[in-house]
Amino acid sequence: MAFAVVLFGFGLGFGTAPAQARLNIEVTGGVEAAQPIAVVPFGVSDGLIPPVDIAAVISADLARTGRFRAMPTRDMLDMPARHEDVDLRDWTLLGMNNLVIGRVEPDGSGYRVSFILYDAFRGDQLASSTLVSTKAGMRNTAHRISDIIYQKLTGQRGVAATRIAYVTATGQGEGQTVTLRVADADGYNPQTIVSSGEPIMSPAWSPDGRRVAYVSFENKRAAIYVQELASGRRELVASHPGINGSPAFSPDGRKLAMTLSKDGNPDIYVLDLTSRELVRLTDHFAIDTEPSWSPDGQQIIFTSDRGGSPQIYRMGSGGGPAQRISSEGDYNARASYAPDGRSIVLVTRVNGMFRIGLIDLDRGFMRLLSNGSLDESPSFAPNGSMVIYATIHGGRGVLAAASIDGGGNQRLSQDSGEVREPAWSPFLN
Amino acid sequence: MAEIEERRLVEELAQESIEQEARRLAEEDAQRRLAAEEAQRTREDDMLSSLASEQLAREADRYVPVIRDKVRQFWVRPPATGRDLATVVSVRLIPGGDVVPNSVRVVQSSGNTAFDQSVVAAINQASPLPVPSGPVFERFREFNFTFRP
Repeated sequence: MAFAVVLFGFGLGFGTAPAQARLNIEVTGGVEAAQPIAVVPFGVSDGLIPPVDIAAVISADLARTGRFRAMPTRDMLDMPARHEDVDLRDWTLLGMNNLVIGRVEPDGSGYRVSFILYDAFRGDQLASSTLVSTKAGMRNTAHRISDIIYQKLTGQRGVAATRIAYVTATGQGEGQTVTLRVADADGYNPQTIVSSGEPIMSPAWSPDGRRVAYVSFENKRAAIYVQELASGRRELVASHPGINGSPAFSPDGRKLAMTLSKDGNPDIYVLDLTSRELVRLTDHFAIDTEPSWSPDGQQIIFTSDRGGSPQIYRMGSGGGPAQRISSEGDYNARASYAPDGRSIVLVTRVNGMFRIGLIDLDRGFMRLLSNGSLDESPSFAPNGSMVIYATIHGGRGVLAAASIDGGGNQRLSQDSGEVREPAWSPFLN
Repeated sequence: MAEIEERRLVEELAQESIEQEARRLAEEDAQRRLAAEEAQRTREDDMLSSLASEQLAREADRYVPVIRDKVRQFWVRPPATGRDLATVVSVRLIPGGDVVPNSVRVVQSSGNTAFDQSVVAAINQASPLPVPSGPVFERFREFNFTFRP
């Protein structure tokens, strides 16, 4: 009996000492912050003076996403431009997770730009490519490289090579010039689309990024135009008596939602751009304006004061009953959908200040994205990571971008004058 | 006379077979005992060694939170990655706790390159890791980390 007990004891001893499993240590937490990356100034062939500091453009693009922290050039101990000159240990000692090197070489009348993205700690080449560029297209080439790097590291498509449309005004009164411009997403390389002595408003991109719709008062009253960017050719699509405003392309690019007051007070209409058929979606004695399509084209959200104050409502894209979807505050307007359709950005009034808000449609709550006093015209980046909007800085209108996941707000570079009503382009390829 | 002699012989033979049988039984008995003793010794040895490894494991366990804390201090993970990522990496150390250069391998990727890289960077930057010396170190010669936000 005693023997049996001892045996049992042995058995237990065996049971509690399993074959040694490999140790695994769980680590949770850490600090969330922008990731360190070094973009070394690109090497150039003898005598070649590239029109753009490509590495500086890439560094700025990556930093603007809020997800990367680019190493200042002055902190670099070495500036390799070729693979054989790279010693990744140097960069890991400087705390860099990633290293980008590159070269610019002449290629006919243009340039050949090549780069390599390294994983510094593991020694791998994560991406490498050679892009052909014209002199004028050099910034765009840099933006495309930024997007390759961004997508490789984050898994999300980058928006550095997208563009923004905005309205800028210079001069006062009779001497005022209003211009619709399209610039790179970083604010550089602005190009004039149309210019007028009268107001231009509400630029809106077509889903293919080739056309822009806008409201112009150039004939002393409001009219909606659709203009092809490449050719400059434009078409007048709405010039009814009264208000012609807030154009918005449907996701398939075939229709244009807009605000018209031709039948009395402002209501939402949809124009078929091919057949020219105009369908009235709302018929309410209150003001209905600022339509915006859901990404699947099934819904339209708009601003209406039918409840006594401006609020955001949603209806089917064929019309029908509308439901209010903004619940907080006494002023909500200018809403548009996120690319994934799960949230909307809008202008909301908080303590007398107009700020950019984000409403999570699944959960219904609102979060503020900006902290100005007169912020307006929010527009999502096509990857949904940022929102561009207009704000007042130093007494004049400027453009700013807010990161959706935190990471702060930043002002964009721009030309002089008052800047308003930005609209972020779709992906451009 | 011959009769007496014959009976004596028979008795002797019988006696002999009895003694033989007894010896055989005794031998068998001894063998059984030896086997039992051997078995017990083996069990005791196993127990002792498992106790020793348990003790080593317990000793090693005391270092786990210290290592975890040190690595966590160096972990700067990328923003906006979502909460459900996990990266498993294997690491090799030399006695003293230095991470063997290029030994940090991603065993199971999170699917997000920047997130995986932040994990590899954290371990490399936390080197040397606070590990025990002596036989307990063997637990830490090669092991895994699992990182979650």
